[in-house]
Amino acid sequence: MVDSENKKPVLERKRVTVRRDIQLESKLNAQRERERLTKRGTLVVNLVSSPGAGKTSLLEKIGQRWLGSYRMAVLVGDVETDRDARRLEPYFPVAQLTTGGACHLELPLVRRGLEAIGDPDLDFLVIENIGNLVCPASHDLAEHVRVTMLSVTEGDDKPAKYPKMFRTSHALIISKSDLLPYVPFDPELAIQDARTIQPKLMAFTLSAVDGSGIDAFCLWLEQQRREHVLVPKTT
Amino acid sequence: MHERSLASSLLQQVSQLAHDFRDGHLASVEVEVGPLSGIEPTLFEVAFHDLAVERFGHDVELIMREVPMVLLCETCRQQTRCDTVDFQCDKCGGNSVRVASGDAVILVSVDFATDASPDANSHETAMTVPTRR
Repeated sequence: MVDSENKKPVLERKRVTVRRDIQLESKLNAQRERERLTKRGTLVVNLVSSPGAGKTSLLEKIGQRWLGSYRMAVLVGDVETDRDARRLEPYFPVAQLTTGGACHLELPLVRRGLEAIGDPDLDFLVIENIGNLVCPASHDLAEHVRVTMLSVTEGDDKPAKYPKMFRTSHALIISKSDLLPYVPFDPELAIQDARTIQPKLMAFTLSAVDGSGIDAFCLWLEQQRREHVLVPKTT
Repeated sequence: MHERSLASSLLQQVSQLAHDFRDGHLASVEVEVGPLSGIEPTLFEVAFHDLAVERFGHDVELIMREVPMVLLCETCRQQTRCDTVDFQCDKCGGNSVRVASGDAVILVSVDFATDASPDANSHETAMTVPTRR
């Protein structure tokens, strides 16, 4: 097996066949965390969008509506600063998850955030993800529903450009609808494009400035809690 | 750039296999990616090689195979294969489809090089595949 003149080794290759999703373990961990929170009656919402689409403004409005009605907490993901968390503190227990440059949240950060607020009994836990329509699409944060927000100033072509995010979402929010008279954004086209990617997508058009559409979204959240948490599916 | 995070997750799993497979030198890793895997292949490759050197002290070959997305139509049960992100059944034209594959990064296999020479232990450092740290 060895060339006696050159003393070169003879290499043999041995193959270990795996065939496994590289995120399998993190998906299973997320599923376990989702089940834990389901048993405690908590609906987990993963709220994603581009930066500046209005996630924090929407949560402020929900906070004003639900103050005293529901036990809700928010985990706020940001690359830097705790400004969004400070805006939400009057309404909810809030933990700021500052990633220091990372473009998305992962489950260990969510757990750290929950620990930071004392892992209380909650009706709703909202994870305000990092502003980004790409990377957060690939990470299960133990949410029951993923909600993607698209503001009218971003353009109605975004669903087609970011298919994974819309494919993995349960609802689409078109935000800043008060600006519709001033921008070339066709909500019907955006919704139609998004439903080509995900036919089951619920769609809401709302404005945190004039308050329109927010009640409908809150009602949907309540309905989701009834469906996912209060009467858990057996499948 | 979440490619780095996913490459790190992949290498962690490869590292565990390498630990279990003590008598071989890690040579190559084969993965499959599809149109909805959520990675940019070039960025993933760059991240993989950077992290492999960091973790093992030497580079590791990455074989990345691009596979089509496979859809299963919930209406007519037709299987559709597509190379781009398109959620339309090619039989009935409907878009009530389940993504059966092509939406994840799949670790297919890991190759280890072993020295088959009778006196392998005496010239381990001369192997073309460097020794793991």
